Amino acid sequence: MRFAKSGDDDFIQQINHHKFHGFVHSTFNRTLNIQCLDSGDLYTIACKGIDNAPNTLIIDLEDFEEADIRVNDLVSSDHSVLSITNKMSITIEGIKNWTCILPEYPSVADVLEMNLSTMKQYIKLHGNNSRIERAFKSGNPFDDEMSRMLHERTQLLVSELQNKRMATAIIHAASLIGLGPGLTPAGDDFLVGLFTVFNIENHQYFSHHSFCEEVVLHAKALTNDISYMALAKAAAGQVRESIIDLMEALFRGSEEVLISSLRRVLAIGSTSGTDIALGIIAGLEMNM
Amino acid sequence: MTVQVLVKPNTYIDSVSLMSLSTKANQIEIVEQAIIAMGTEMNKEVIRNVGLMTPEVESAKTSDLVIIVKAASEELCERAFESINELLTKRKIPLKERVKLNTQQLPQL
Repeated sequence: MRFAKSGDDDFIQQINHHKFHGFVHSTFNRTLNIQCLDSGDLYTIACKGIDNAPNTLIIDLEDFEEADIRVNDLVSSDHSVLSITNKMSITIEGIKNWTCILPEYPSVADVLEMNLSTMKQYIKLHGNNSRIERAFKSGNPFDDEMSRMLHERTQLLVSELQNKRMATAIIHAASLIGLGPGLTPAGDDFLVGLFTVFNIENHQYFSHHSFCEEVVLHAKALTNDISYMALAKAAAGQVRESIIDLMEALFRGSEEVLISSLRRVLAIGSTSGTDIALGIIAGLEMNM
Repeated sequence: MTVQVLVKPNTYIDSVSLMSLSTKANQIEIVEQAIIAMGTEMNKEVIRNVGLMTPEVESAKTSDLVIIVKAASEELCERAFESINELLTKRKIPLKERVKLNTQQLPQL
C-alpha cells in the first residue's frame, strides 16, 4: 500500500465520496495520468518532490520504474483507496489537502515592478532557450521556423490584448495552441502563464478572464490531452503550486524568495517553465 | 533527398526526453534533418512551411508522435531510423510496435 502525502482537494473528494473509475492514460518516470471515465478529465499521480497541482495526488514513491503500470490499466476507488488494477493501491488516509488559491494583485506595485525586472534579467541569463523570447537562427529549418512563428504570434497576441481587441486576441491565442515541439507545446505554456495573470483578482484584465475560457474552447482539437488539461485548468485559475508561489513572490517577496520560486518554475519540463514565466511577464506588463 | 515518416499513435514522451531525442537525432551524421514532435495542427503548419509535409504527417493526430527523417537516400533514412530506434529503446519505447515507415522522394534541389 502506498500513502498519498498531499493532493488536490477536488480529487480527494472524488475518491472519498464518489466511485472513481478510469484508466491509465499515459505513464512517465515520475508521473502517470489517469483518465476519468465519467468526466473524461485527466488526473495525475506524481512522485514525491513534485509540487502540488490541480487534479493531482503526490505519493510516497521515488518513481514508477518498478511498478509496471501500463497504459489502459484500470483504475478505481473504494473507501479512500485508489487502486490501479492489482499493481498499486494508494490510500488517502492522513493526506494533506491542497487547494489552488492565487494571490491578489498588490495595491501598491513597487515590489512587483522591481521583482518583474529582476525576473526578466534572471530569465535572460538562466532561462531555457525559449523559442518565444526571440526568433533565433539555429541552422535547423524546423527549429528556426518554429521560433519565428512562436515569436511573431505571441507578439501579435500581446499587442491585441494591450489594445483590448479581445476578438482578434482570441484568434491569435488559438494560433499558439499546439505550437511547439514538446509534450506541452511552448505556445500552450505561454498561455498557461498568461491565463494565470488573467485570473489574479484586482488585475485590470481580471474582468477579461472569460477570454481564457473562450480560448480554451478552441484548444481541445488543437493540442494533446495532457496539455489541454493544463490549459483548461489554468483558464479557471487552477495552476500548480510552484506557479502560485512565484506569483506571491513577485507581488510581495524579497529578491531571494523570488529567485528561489522562479528557479522552481524554470525547472518545469524542458523549456516549459521558461515559456510559462514569459506568459506571466507578458500578462503583468499589460497592467503597467 | 528522401523523407521518411513514422507516426507513433498515442505516444507521450516527456518534454526533456523529447528535446534530447530530437537533438540527438539531428546529430546522426547521415541525417540531413530530423523532426520529432506531436502531430498538432500548428506543428504541421511548421512542417509544411519547411517543405516536409507528407500525407502521413497530414493525417497524424494531436496525441501522435511524428518522427520525420530527411536523408540523401532511402537506405540512409532507414539507417537513421535504426539509430533513432536505439535512442528510443534506451528509453524503453519499442519503435517496432505499430511502426509503419512511409517514404517520399523529394526532388533534387
